[in-house]
Amino acid sequence: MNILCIDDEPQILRILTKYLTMVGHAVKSASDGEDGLRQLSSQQPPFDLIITDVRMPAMTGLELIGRIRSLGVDIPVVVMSGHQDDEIDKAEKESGVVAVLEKPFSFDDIDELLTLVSRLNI
Amino acid sequence: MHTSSISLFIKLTAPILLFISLVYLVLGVSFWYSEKKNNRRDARLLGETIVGNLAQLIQLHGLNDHEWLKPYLVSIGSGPSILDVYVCNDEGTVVAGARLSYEEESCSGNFEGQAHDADITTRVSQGGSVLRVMQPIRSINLQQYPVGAVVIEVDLKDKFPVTLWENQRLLLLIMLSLISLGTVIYFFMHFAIVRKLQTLQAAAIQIARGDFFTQVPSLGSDEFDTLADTFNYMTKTLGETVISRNYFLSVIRSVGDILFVLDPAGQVTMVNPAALRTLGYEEEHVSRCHIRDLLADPSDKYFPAVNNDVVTYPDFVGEELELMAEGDERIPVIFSRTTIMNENHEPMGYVCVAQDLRQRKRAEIKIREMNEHLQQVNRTLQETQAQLVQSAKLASLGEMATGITHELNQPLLIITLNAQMASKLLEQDQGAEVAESLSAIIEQVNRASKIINHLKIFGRKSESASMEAADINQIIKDSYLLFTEQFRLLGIQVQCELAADLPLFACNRIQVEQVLTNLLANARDALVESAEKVITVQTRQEGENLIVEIADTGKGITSDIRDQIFDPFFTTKEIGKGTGLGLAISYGIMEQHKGSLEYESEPGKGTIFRMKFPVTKDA
Repeated sequence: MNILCIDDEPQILRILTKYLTMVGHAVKSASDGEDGLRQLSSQQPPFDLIITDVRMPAMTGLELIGRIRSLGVDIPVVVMSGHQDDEIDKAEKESGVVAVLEKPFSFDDIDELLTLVSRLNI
Repeated sequence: MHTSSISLFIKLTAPILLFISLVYLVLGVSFWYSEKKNNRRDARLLGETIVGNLAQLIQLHGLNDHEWLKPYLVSIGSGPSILDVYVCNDEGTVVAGARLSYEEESCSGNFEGQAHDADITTRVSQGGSVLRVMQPIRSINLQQYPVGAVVIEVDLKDKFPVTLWENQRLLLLIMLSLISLGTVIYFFMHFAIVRKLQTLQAAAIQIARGDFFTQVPSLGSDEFDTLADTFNYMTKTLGETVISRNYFLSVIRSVGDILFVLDPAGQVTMVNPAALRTLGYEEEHVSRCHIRDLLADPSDKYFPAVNNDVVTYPDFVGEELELMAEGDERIPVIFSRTTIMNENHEPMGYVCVAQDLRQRKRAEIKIREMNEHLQQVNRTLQETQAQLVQSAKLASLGEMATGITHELNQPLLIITLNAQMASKLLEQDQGAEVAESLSAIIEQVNRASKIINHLKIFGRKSESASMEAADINQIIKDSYLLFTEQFRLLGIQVQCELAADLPLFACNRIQVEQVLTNLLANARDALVESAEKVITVQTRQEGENLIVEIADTGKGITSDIRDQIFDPFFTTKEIGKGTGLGLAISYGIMEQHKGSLEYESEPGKGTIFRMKFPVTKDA
């Protein structure tokens, strides 16, 4: 799968990219929403999955999803959230959000998620 | 009053009537007498004139031939008031007359020797007084010998009644005038005297009824006014004597406190109604008492029992005693005793005044109860306040919890993922890359430890933490730890302008951190909707003070709430977001540090909160 990872925390971005690559996916990373949108528009073939943090400076994960949908792109999105329940609820209600990863999560959670998404794509 | 007025009328009118009658009488008599006299004179003059003329005529003609006389005499005799006229010879025989016949003695009377003068006599006849004038007729040759006489009789009453009647009309007129005058005098007297007398009488009646304040008004400028003045003076003097006694009795009776008047031996001589009311005794009972009998403690030092009846007790004021009331009730009073002195400064007795203290005692008990209640309320308030402080601390902790979630989640995630990665790398025998993951883990553990260590300090009871020397810059850095992630995510730029080499200062570190946390959280909330999001934290030293300024570029504080922002429970935040205690507690903490918390704000531009701590040399 072609996966786009977006997070403002470089350590998280680094380890996620490393793991997803390790398990055989093509991974692109972006440090904020604007960067993510840029990569989304230039990517060929299109991404199969977007994994994004919710809380980011400048553009939040939820704002980013709104922008993606407004572009008419219908790619499944997984959001990472470590905060209040209401934030998770909001994220779950966004269209195209297939799952919410509650921080702190493990690689097992990511494996489960990828299985879910690959099923959706089939 | 009416009777006396009539009596006065009679008294005034009777003498006037009597006087008028007297005048009438005197005038009548004098008129009558004068008329009578005039009549007589006129009659005499008439008689003398007629007989004189006739005598001369007869003297010329002689008496021998007397026939010619008759017509004359008849003519004269028919005149008014003339009763008769006749001529007689020297023998007294009537030779001619007005009447037809005469008695022989008609010409009685001796006219011899009366050759010249007429003889005038008056006699009373049936019709009244008659004046008789007899004129001797002289011989022409021998004049000293009368040859006869002419006699005329004039009626004296004939003319008199007419004049008298005329005079009576005059008298009547005079009398009527006098009556009119009398009436005028009466009315004048009525108004000038009786009215005034009535006024005086009314005043006298008022005084008789006990009204000593009656004053007679001015009664004009005569003797009555002087009388009125004298009357008023008398009333006043009388009033002063009589009223003063009644007045002072009334004063004594009206005194609201207990009042006894004692004789020099301490026996009660007078007692006022307030005393009887308070003590519940009858006046007869108290009047027989010695003052000692009314005291709850008969051996009281203020009225020692002594054998000698005349004892001078010293004056005293405001002593607390107890009086014995009916039914053996003890009444607490404030008691004062004063000696009454006569003109020679000898004691005449005592005045004792006592104020009932029962109501005051009750009030004191009530006040004490209220005081206790107030203290109870105060304790509750203090407890509540302590609870509030705890709540505020919890509110601060809530504020921190948000920060902690942010701050700890990231390192934990990184640690988890790296640990798993290390494990996987080890399985794949990629040892060199494991080190990378492990160093990432250590880095994140350190990051998390810092926060946890900080929380440990914060978790201590702030009350038990003593004042310690601290570096304000370090406290700011520690407080900021919990806001780092929040500020980063909200896009808030933080500018730290912390002065180097600041002295340490004595503080309760946790409390100061609490204030900083509150101020930073407020700054954060103020910036949510601002375009420019900058928080400037500045420290500096100004003289003996350490200054910490936290400035934001937020919406500012509007003037209408400036007086309220330090009030407890005042908040502009949404329900559930702010307790309204942050600034109130912060203000209190700054006061505890003998410092101050103030602010400057410009709506739309931002707010600067300024903490000021005193720096003591021993800190």
